[in-house]
Amino acid sequence: MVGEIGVRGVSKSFPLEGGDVEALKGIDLNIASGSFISLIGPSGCGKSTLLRLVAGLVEASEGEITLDSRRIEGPGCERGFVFQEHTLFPWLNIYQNVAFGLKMQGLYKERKGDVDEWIETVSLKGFEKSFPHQLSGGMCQRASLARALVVKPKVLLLDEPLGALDAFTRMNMQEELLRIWAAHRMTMVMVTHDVDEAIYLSDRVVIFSPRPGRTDEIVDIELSRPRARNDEGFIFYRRKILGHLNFGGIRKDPNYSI
Amino acid sequence: MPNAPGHPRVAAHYFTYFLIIAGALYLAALAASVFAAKLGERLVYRGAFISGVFIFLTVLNLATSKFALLPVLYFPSLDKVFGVIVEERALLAKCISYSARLLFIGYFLGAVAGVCTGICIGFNKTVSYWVSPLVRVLGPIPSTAWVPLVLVVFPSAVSASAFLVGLAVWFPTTVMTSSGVSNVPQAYFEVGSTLGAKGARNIFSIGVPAAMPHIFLGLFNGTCASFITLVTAEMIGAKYGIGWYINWQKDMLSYANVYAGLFIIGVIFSILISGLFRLRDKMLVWQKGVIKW
Repeated sequence: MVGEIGVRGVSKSFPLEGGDVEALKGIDLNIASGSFISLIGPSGCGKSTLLRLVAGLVEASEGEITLDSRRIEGPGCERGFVFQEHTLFPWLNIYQNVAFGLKMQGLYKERKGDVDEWIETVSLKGFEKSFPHQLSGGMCQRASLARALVVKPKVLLLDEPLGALDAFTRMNMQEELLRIWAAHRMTMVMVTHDVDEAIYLSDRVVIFSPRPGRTDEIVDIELSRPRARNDEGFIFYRRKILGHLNFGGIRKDPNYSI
Repeated sequence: MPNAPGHPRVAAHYFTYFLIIAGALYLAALAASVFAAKLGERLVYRGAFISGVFIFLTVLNLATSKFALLPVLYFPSLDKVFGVIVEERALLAKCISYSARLLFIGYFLGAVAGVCTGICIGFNKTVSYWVSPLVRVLGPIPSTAWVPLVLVVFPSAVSASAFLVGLAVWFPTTVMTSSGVSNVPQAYFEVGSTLGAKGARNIFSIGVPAAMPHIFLGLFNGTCASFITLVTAEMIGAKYGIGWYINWQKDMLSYANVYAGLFIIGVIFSILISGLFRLRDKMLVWQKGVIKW
């Protein structure tokens, strides 16, 4: 198995007017290969920054991040990235967008078939010739997913990928993500604001606290799959996580059980 | 109706011929529209405008040749204006071909140089540091203001004029290209980098296509500037050319010829502009409904 991420003593500060702002401080985290991890926390807690650090889009101020024991320096195609907005290239049609990564790596000729396969996997068959502005937000996000996956990354980094979608599309996309994850067994790391989404999808939920961003708590979700959104275990985890995020209401004890 | 006595005689009634030809074309289009519904729709839509044009021409004809209401010297009869186009067609064609050559050489070089400069400024901080101030100072100078210098530096009037046209195209293209490139959302480059795009690929697979709408805006502005410059540049020692023709005829007080020249310029330039629009629509089909200009 590949796609194991190690985060050791990582801090990140950004220069801002009147001094540096610490976005992340002393993060230690191990992400097992083939697992689904969610990063959750209030706005400004640095969870997206951590994701961008893993992607290599920004550089850590301190500490190091490794992928399969190799230090990460700069972006690379073994770590796919899906943004909140779909970020499809508007001048390319859906097919060309999905094929973009293979073309950049000069692999398009030998792996043409993968493009069609992924377009079919995300149910966009028949829309190959459409341009992004002709499709709905959900369809575009599925195309983004296909574009990131066609280059066979070991790790898929998802920065609130479903945040801009309506509730129904969102739930469909969650199923789709799980299907892809189960079929390809890659490591997935997702930033989300949605507690239910985190519980529904993840093996582990990492809870961040803000200013400076640190990992507050790591919750292992020990529910069998497929999961039901309203069974007791699910509600237990929801209370537990909301409690950590200080949204638990009157009851402060996170280990309260039904 | 007889012409007013003040107007010089013309060899033939060219305006009448023009009306007959135009009428015949319209009738032919009308007949064709029976078979092509789309053409019919366009004809109905354009009908009011077409009649407006002909009413205007008729009023002009009445005001000039029929009643001589306007000074005869400056407002010749339409027969004469159309007559010039027919009778001097050989000279006019030669002038058009000279102008076209100048325009295309100048435009092509200016556009290529502009896009290249713009890309370099947009992508390279060092180039931007040194070149952008230069662009900002040199750009706004009307390229015709360079005439004295250019005449000294360049070996021939043709190369000098081509340079002026190129310069006129270069500035707007450079500015719009570089602003287009620097306005490309960072997220596109980030996505590209996680998909394995590196170095020059970043520029040509992401930066340039994303900046294409801006580049076209620059080329469009450059086209207009190039027309102005072309006509002015030809007034400074060209042997042939449509701008030269107008200037020459103006000096001879042959206003019919001047109007004929202006008419030809108008038609040709508007054809070129619509060509550019067509090209844009084709290349920027992806942004239909996204941006309009």
